[in-house]
Amino acid sequence: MRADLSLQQAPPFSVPARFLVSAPFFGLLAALILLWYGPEMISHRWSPEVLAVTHFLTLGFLTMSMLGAMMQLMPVLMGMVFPRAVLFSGIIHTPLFAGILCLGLAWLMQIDLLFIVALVLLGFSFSLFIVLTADRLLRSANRHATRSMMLLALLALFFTTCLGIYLAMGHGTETVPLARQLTDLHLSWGLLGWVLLLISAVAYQVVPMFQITDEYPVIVQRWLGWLIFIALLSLSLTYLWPLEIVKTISTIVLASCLLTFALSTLWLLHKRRRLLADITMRFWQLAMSCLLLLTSVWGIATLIHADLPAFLLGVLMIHGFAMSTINGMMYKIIPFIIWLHLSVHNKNLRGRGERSSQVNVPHMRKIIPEAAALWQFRFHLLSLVLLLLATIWPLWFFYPAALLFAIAQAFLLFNLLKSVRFYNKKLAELSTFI
Amino acid sequence: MKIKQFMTQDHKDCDLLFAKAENAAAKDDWTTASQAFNAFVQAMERHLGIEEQELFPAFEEETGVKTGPTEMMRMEHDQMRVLFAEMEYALEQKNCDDYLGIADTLLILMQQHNMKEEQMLYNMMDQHLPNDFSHWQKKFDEWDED
Ligand code: HEM
Ligand SMILES: [Fe+2]
Ligand SMILES: [Fe+2]
Repeated sequence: MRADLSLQQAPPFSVPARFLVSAPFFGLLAALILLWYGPEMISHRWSPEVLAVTHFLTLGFLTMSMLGAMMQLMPVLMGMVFPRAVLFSGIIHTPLFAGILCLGLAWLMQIDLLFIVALVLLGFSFSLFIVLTADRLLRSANRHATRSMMLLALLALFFTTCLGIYLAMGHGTETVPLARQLTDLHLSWGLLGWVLLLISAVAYQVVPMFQITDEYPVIVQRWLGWLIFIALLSLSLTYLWPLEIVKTISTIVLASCLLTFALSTLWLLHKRRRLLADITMRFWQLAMSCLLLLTSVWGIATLIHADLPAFLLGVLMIHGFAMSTINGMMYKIIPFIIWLHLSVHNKNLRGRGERSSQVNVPHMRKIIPEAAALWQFRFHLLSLVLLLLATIWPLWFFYPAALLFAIAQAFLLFNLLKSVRFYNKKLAELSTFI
Repeated sequence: MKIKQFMTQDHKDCDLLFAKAENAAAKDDWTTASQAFNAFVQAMERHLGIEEQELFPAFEEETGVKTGPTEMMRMEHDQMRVLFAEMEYALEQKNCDDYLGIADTLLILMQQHNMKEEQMLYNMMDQHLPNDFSHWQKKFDEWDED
């Protein structure tokens, strides 16, 4: 007996979908909080509203979609299957979703108990994910650089979480003092470790494949991630043994790594064989330009001892670099897996003799139209420009920026939800077409 | 040269033909597009054919595994062939949006397939099959003559 054409290890659609759709939901929530609280909330860096927005973006948008993308991509990129994907994705997603909401609300409403609830939920969700994935990665036979980069990224997520939980206990309990000197370390492990390492690991494979470019230089693939990781480790050690020179060197190494990654990606894209500038390519270019700008501004400001607006680098990194990359990837991942699931379903029906003719399965641009993606990209870009201006002149630009940000996120949410509905509709349609 | 290097290079060559056809279609240049598309499909059919008729059977014989990775690869080849046909239809209709949409879908399908071969299957083949590059080169040349 010939088995149904299986999805070649790809998990069911609901597994990545629930993570990817949750991301713009948190993005929209963050934008609405900005609109609700107004420009006073960014008058200082540590306001609870700022921390809530930051984590709706870093945990709610970035980490949320990164977990979903990993579960989807690992079978393909690493040749490994995520164990009992439906069960575990539920056990990981639900506490993650609830935990992020609780953490945000704990800050906004200043409820100590909610901090504790959030930490338990987030701690549980991340531990489970890290253990399961690391176990699979360690056993995978694949030896591509992406494997070790993913392991390093997971380790970075672990450090970020530990530091985050400790810091949050300073906010939520009487007994633990707030260790604010650790905040920079926490955000460095989060943004330069977890986020940057994972994005670069994925970029090494997907940029050459989907834009038909040359490979990244082998040294970049092999060493960049390790350099970043080691620099972050040394930076952490300076908290135990304060050595100014180690700190300076690590910072320089980090900046050079960011520069190398941004420049090599931009160069590859510039020399791509596929002339068509698809939406994902524009998002990549935008993301890498932001990384370039970020490093330059940061480097120059450090050299001339200038003070930067408090949120400038954060906006460039979180919105400009990380959210852009992921937003662009979503426009490849979601339509493709919808197409894949539909076409497999279609073929299986035929294989079982339940239908004689081949019905055409809608291609990717029917699932998310290019025009819808393009307009969402434009709103995203505009919201980025306005947010950057708002970090410098909040009184003028804060509201327009927040409004555009809300529109861009709502638009993304709309595009994704519409494609999920399309999937459900087509699935039913295919089955009745017998 | 090993099977892996040889076949990986052929993947890259096919990619370039794919890009050429897509670039032309995006510019509404249907004559060039259809020439490049035909060249692309021809190169792909040769590649897929050699895998299905030479490499996979030899591997299955050597290892005794018939339902494992090679079966999966064959199914993906069939999925690609469905898309070739759809692209050809869009090309005849000069329907740019459909052509680009199907091409986008094919590109991802094809690349993730190639990646599985390059990172897993070809390595396994190099461990089990004769490491004789001229043998495979000959198969490619013979294919063109048929
Ligand atoms: C379990 C997960 C996490 C918890 C409990 C947590 C908790 C915290 C806390 C309590 C602070 C404030 C520290 C202070 O008041 O000085 C903070 C700051 C920050 N965290 Fe997290 N965090 C988590 C995960 C992450 C992740 C994954 C990222 C990035 C990818 C991240 C990025 C940041 C940033 C950028 C700041 C600085 C905000 C600012 O300077 O205004 N966090 N985090
Ligand atoms: Fe193949
Ligand atoms: Fe192949």
